[in-house]
Amino acid sequence: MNFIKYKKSDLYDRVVDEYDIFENSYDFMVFLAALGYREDEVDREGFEGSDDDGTRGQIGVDNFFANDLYRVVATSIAFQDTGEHKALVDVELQAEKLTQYAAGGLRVAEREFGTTAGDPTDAMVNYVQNLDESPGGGYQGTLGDIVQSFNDELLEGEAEDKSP
Amino acid sequence: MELHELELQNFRQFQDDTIEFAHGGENGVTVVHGANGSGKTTLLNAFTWLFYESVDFDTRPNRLITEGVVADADTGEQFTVSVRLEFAHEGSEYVAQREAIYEKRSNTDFDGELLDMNLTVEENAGSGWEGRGNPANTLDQIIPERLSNLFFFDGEDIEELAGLDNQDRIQESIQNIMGLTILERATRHLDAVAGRFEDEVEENASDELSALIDEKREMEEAVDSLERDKSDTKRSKERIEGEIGDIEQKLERLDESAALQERRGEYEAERERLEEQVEEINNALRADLNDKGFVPLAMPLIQDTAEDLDQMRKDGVIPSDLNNSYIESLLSAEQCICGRPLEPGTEHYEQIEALMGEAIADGVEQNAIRIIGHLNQVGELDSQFHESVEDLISRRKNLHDEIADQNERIDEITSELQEMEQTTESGESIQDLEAQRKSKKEEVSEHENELGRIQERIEQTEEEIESIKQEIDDQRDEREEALVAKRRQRAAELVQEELEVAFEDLKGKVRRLSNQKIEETFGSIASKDLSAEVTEEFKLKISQNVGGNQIEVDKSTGERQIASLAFVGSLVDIARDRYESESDSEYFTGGIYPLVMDSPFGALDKSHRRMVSRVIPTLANQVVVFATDSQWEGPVAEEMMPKVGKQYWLDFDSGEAEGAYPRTRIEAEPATAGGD
Repeated sequence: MNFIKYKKSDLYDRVVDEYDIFENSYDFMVFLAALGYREDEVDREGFEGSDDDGTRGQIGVDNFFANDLYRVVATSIAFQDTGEHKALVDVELQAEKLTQYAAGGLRVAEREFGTTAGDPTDAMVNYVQNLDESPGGGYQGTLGDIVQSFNDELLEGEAEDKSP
Repeated sequence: MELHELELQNFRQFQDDTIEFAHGGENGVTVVHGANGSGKTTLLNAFTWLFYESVDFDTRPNRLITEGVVADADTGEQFTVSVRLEFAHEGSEYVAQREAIYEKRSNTDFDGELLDMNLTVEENAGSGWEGRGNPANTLDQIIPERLSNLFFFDGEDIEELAGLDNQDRIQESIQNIMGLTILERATRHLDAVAGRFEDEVEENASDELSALIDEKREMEEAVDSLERDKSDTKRSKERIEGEIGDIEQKLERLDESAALQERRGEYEAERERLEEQVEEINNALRADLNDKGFVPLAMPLIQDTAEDLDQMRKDGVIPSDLNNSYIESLLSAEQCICGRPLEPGTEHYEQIEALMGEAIADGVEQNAIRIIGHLNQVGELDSQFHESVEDLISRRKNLHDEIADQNERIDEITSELQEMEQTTESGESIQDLEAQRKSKKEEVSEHENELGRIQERIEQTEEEIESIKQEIDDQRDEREEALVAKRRQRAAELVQEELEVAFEDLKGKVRRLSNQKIEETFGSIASKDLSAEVTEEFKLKISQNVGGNQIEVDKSTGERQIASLAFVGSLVDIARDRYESESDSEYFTGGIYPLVMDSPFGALDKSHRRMVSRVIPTLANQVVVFATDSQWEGPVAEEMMPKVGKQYWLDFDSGEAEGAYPRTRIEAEPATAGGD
């Protein structure tokens, strides 16, 4: 398995080991990467952490790519960050970008939940629950339309293929 | 181990008596009948004196020798007290004998003075009798002293096993009986070995490294001391909780406060149940964050990507009929799809080559479509997260309101109790008891805070130790001797860590096995809705099934005794299974043990006695039971008689006649007068 280096802090230990909010460090990392992208916070320099100050962690890349939705997030981040088609297929690039945005997300998380005394579950739930936009509806409509357009086109393609 | 014969000489009231134990076959039970005070407990003590030179007598604890023998003797005369046991163990025959020589010092000396003590153990492994060099050690290996009260036990205190403060005993029992102490000892030794190598590193190290090692050791000592504080505080907290339980029992016994105390207990139990539900909701919130929490955060990202991919679709980039690898294959085959040759350098070749830039790379289309394929799922998860969290938070709020109501009810009862004046027999009023209860509750909460602080300091110090260890590992300037010692130290530490993991695993395994057996045994004896188990903290817990939930209940003496018997029985049974099984398990050798029980029915009512008697003979291959006639008659005799191989009666003469002294004879026929 390939491993990636990532930047960690005590917050990883707190949410994974101490309070069992996330099952694995990579679950928290995907959460952070999504947060980093949303808040436009990305760390392109220190995203691998450092052994000197104990901020370096290591995670097997397969952990992300075994989960379909984590893969969607990693692919999307790399695609949005680079704007290049190849980002949709380049796994190494996707892992690197995921790590950069997770390191950026970690800064946001430290500000938002890092100072909470005790269990940060509620602070995290509230943060996600009270994001700016209205939940569900808007996105679901847009995403649904896009899915529909693709379906129509692909079905049309198939129909054309089958025509004599 | 199989007991064969016990011979007593001048041991308390037994002047010259012998018991042959039933063993082998279906009738492995030996019953010794005796009235209270006739010497049943003395017989139990004969075993522990022989094995460990340890006795526990209620009356005249220092007198071992038969009173009449000393009284009738002249000053200066010497006597021998002796207990001799023949037994078999793991294919060998043994004769163990402890002798103590006493001398009468004066006319009024009835105890005698101990002059000499001697223990011998002879073994015959098939090739003749030979004395064992270290007899005490031999006996301790056969039945370790720490374990003795499991095999030679007094029914009157067996139920303590299910009481407070007994995790250590239970844990020890589990370790001992399975031979797991070997692992425990090995890890301790490895710790010492690692320490010795560390000394060596220090001797050969630079000043800097040496200072780091000192610092690490100081911190390790600090952690040890904090661990001791933690266990003291924990014990003290449990003691206070026990005292609170006692106060609550007193309140339950007083007419004026009984109903209120009972109701308060119910409210507190309900509050606990509600608090557990709150914790379940918190866990569900954590699970939502883990499984779906990233989705709402990722919605803008996914929407941006979906829109870009949709644009690619509108632009005709996807779905695409052409891709680079297809064009490459045409160029390398030097033949166009239309059949014309494609020669490098020709205009046609360049036209086809130029298409490569416009075509998309391999996999792009599949990945784009894969993302689109998950968009509906993403949208659903986003909605599910919000709906689920909203529902959980609202349910949690309701639970908090209910908890507040319970607190109010509890406070009201507390206020009522604080004004009551009825007193207990010892003169404590309900007011006093309430005040004590309140202050003890505060103490418990202080102890809990203290435990939290200690734990935090332990974790902090452990982290610091880890970082110093890292610094020590990073030191590169020391001499070859130090490097070798450091490697050896690390090797010892690694083995130690591995063994600790194996030890914990095995301990857990035995605990689980033990629980299976306890469930069978306890389930067959106790009431239907009660169950007993050894918890992960090695507490023997009795629970009641209330509406599908297992709730820990206060144990009656009888239930505690049954749970303890079930536990002891489970261990003996597991040890026997392991010993007889052919599997070649490394640490888990097990063994065959007898059970010697003094009054195991004492605290039980008739129906429980019947059930315990049914189970006891199944607990071990060999069982020795001491019982009074009233304990034996009826259900116990009916259940156990078919399994009894030998019976004895203790014929006790209290020695009230002139010139007579207390004496018990062990008879193979019933004595003329029996009873309690």
